[in-house]
Amino acid sequence: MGLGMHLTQEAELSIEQSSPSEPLLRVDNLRVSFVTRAGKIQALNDISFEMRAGETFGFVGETGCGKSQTALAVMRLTPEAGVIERGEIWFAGTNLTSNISQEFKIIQHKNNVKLKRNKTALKRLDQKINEIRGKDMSMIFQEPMTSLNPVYTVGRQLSETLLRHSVDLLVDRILARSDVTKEKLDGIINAATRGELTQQKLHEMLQNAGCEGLEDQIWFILSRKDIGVVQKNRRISSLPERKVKPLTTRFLVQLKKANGKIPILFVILNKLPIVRKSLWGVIEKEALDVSYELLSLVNMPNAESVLRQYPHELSGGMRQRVMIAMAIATRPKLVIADEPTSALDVTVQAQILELLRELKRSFNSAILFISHDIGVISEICDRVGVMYAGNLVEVARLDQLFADPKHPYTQGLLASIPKYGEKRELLQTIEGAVPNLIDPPKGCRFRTRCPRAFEKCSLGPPWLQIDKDHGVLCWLYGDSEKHVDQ
Amino acid sequence: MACCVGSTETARNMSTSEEILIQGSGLKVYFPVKTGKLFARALYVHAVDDVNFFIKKGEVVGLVGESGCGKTTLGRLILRLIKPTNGAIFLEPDRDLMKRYLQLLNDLEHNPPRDGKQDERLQETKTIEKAHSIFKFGHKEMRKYRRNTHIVFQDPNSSLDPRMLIKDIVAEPLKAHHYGSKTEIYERAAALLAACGLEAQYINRFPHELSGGQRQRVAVARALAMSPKLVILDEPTSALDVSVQAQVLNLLKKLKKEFNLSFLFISHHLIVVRYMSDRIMVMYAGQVVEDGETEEVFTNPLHPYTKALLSAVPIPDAKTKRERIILEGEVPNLIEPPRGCRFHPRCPAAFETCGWSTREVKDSFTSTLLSGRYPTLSKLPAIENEVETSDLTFQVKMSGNLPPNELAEIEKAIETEVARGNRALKAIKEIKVDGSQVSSTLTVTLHAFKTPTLTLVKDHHSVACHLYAQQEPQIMNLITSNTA
Amino acid sequence: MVGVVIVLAYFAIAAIDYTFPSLIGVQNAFSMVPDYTNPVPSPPTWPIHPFGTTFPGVDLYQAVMSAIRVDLWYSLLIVLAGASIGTIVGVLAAYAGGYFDEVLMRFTDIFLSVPYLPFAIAVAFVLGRALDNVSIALAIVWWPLYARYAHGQALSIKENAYVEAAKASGVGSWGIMLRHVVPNVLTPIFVQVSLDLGTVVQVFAALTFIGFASGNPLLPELGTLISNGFQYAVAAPWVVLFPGLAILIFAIGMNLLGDGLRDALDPRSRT
Repeated sequence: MGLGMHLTQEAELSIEQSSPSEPLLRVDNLRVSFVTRAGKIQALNDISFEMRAGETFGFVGETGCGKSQTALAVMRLTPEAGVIERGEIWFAGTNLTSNISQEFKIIQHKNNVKLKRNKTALKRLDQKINEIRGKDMSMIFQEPMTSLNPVYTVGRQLSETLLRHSVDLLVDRILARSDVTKEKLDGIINAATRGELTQQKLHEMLQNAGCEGLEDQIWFILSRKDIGVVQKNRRISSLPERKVKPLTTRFLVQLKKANGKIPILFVILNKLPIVRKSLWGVIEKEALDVSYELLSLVNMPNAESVLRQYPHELSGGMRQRVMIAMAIATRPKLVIADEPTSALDVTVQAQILELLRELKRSFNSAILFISHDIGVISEICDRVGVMYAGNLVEVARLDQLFADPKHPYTQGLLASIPKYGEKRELLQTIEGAVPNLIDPPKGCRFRTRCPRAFEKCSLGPPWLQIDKDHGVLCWLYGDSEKHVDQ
Repeated sequence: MACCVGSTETARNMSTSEEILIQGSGLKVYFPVKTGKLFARALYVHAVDDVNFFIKKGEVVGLVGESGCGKTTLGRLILRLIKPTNGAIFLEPDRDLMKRYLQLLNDLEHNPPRDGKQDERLQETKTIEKAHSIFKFGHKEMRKYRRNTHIVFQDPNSSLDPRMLIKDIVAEPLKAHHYGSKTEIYERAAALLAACGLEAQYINRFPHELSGGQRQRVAVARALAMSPKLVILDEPTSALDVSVQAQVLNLLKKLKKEFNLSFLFISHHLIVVRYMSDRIMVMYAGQVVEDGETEEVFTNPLHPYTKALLSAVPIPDAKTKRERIILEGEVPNLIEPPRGCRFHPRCPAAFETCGWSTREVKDSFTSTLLSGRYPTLSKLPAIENEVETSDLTFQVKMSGNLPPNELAEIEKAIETEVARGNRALKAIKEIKVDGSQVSSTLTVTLHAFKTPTLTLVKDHHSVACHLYAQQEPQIMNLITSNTA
Repeated sequence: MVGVVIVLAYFAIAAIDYTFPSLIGVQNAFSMVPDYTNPVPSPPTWPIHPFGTTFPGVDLYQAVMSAIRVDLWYSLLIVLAGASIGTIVGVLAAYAGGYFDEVLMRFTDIFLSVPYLPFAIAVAFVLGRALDNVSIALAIVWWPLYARYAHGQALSIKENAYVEAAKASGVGSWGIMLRHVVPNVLTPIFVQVSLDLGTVVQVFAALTFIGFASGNPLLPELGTLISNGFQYAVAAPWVVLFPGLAILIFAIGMNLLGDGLRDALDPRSRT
């Protein structure tokens, strides 16, 4: 059944989790290249990392290091010219890269590199992925203006996500209202007024009454801050009044069985206002209601009017909230946030980060957070991966990263940020510039700039797992079996 | 007009060897808004509203604020790339002249001109401005001014003409000021580029062949071509990667020392500003809200906005537990900025004289009455209408008689709301009832408000906030103490 | 690439036709040579009449070759005149701004609203039906487009930081306009010019087809050729085919050239 909105500490009990030993996301030896006229750009070079359920993992690095490309690869949204040459991506037990050998072929013709795509294999991939993308895995982009469709209202865009992926959730909500009676609600109302109602208790009471679909709606009403107790009770008891006709009920049940897909005939019939009003219109209205709840969840002021507004009428912070609302609409297991605050002012950024932290607590989604700003990363992430020129050079817990950075690039990066409060001395800089990824240095890509490079560095450096959370890609710390080479 | 204490305070500082390089007072920039209607009331974006500033020789002044606060506009104004709606800027002004000027302005503020008599003071200020303000400069004086000032922009992509070679880009100001013969010009260009750390091979290339950091070096070299005294840096490193930023910041520091430059460092990146600046000005919605020495402001921020801004800065370290002040709302609309203190709608410490408008309070008031949070108010008659009757009053018409003790209940409810954190209601001064059997009218009067002005609070630390309002700032004392 | 070849070929033909017409087998470059003994159009035969003949007994191949020259000449004239005037007006208006800008652009709008066909007719009526007058009419109609285009380009270039930097460096308004705005405006204008050449050739041919011939009915011109042979189109299709193809290929070639030019002139690819 639909996952409830968890606003208390009982999150652990009600969420479905993959067993703790199995990571939510596992990326192994991912190699992504771009085929261009100038040559083959080796954007990602043997990236391997894991994410556990509910954890916030940050990717930090400078322009061109490949952090955005990693996120896109995980969502299988690599741009046209890019190809996953090898590697595996496992998400919640599904292999997203099972067919890459059939999907792409890179043909090398002397100096000319060409990319060949197998359309049928890609189509199959699309079918598989579209069930996951947007539902279990969602993304927040950097520029909310360009990622929101300017010709649709906010409400419509939010509803679209719900109508596509969470039809069963919507149907349950509607049907539950028809099943419940006033008496069953009275018990809940009394408990709430007395202050004894916790999420879990609500869940139990509803389960006994057979109306779990009401859980979200009741909980939302109870957690509203703008109306008083009297109004809240009134609204809860008026829920059963929003019944639906039996014809509609049958339609909804069928819809749920068909998992949201409706036959073409129906799409045409839908254009008739009568049909629309009693059948599909009901679900659309429900989606709009849920959108309203989502917007309130992301602390959007004037949520009702925002639903009817267009993206260009909103400010940057508000647009980003809409994006976040869309991302969490389907209660995804993984949210990928690609520089979500880089285009925002500092104070708005603080608001958004605070929101993300709150949502992290309530929903227990895993967040893959990408940023070039280490400060922002340190505000929200549990573990961090440092990327340089397509390689993942270090992974560590936040405290480990600052206390004991192992890789020379990490050390250089941290040293080049002015220390808050210390003045006067010149900053430490890293010599040189980021290498060209068409012809990167052989072996360790950082060796041309590394103050501690030595002869071995021209061979592929080993990945060393220093402890459970801390790993580094560098010859300075010994040798291992796992090497990263060209 | 905000009083010029900040600048006069310089007068006191100046008694030491430091001299003022550039000073501006009463600066206003209002951009007209095209409404598209033929006969509409003129609307203006109040981008910069009554700003005073000064920069001493060899000093780095940081200008911080978020988008829309006016810092970029101010930077361009100083270079006269845009025209001011009001105000004057003086380059290397004569000390006594400035004292006199500020004295006059201050006097005019406290004793505004009544026809005829006081006009001589106004005349005198105008004369001074005409003679010395950069906005009244003629062609020749402007050229000289342009030799003494320059700017480095934020975006390295659009600040260099993509069709020009690097050496020509740097040579442009030299050519414009007739620096010398062609050979001399190009020699100097090469020397400048070398001083900025750009390898010789790039001199004959196009901008798109260089990286972002290299392009910024070119921009810096161009800015230094005519050995200016003041360089305005408008977010010079915001578009660069962290490691490149470090290189460019180091370069700027080196050059500043070598050529004894003064910088106006405009940025929204507080960590960088703290690192680079000696003094800092915080702007919000077109006005300066705080001004002081960098370390002082960062360690003891006075203005609530500064406090929120500083607490919002993500600091790269593992200690994430920090007292964060999260502001609600967004940066205000500059066409119709909030009355009084422009920050009051978002200020966690706002109180009655901060400038609450009838609309803000009215909305809060009615929603409190209707919220249902106060069962004692359940017997209120239905609200028919709410009307703003004047600048400081509004009326709420209800259909029905208001029971006698209801007024007390309403007032109690308001108090509880205020205690819960509703700041707008703090502005309510009194509520009167005009009742009858059929209908009653509540007339709510608000406190009068004042616009805060930049006042000196501590040594070298000024803030524009009512929380720190003292009695009339002692300008005369400051001025006279300087003559000693 | 293909575009360059085609266009170059056309220009080559035009040049040779003007100077050494016999090289390409043209007897009389300035007039069609009728053969009244055999006025009916005859099909192409090699080698005497590679394109066949048209009414009244004119060798089509020679006629087309010369016509290409004539058309090219007039089209170039029209487009270059229009582009020059338009660009100057547009850039000046954009740079000056304010009322001057408004007035100039409204003036441009007035000209833009003139439909070219009735206008050409009116001009022909007043000045006489000569090809030169048709060209004048078209040029007058053509320049507002460039003014608009240049105006828009100049406006956006004006906002670039390097223009402000030049101002801060002490460069005067004229200097900025000439050294920064115009060069950056010219690139898209060049591209537009090359694209327009293709269009103008068609328009010009269309007008002459309708009947704006010069006084001399034997002046070789693609539109004239088509109109001459129009009546025989069904029975003798080559009569309209070859001139039509000449126009078509030129337009295509010019388009391709324009695209290629746009890529080539972008300084970013000049590595």
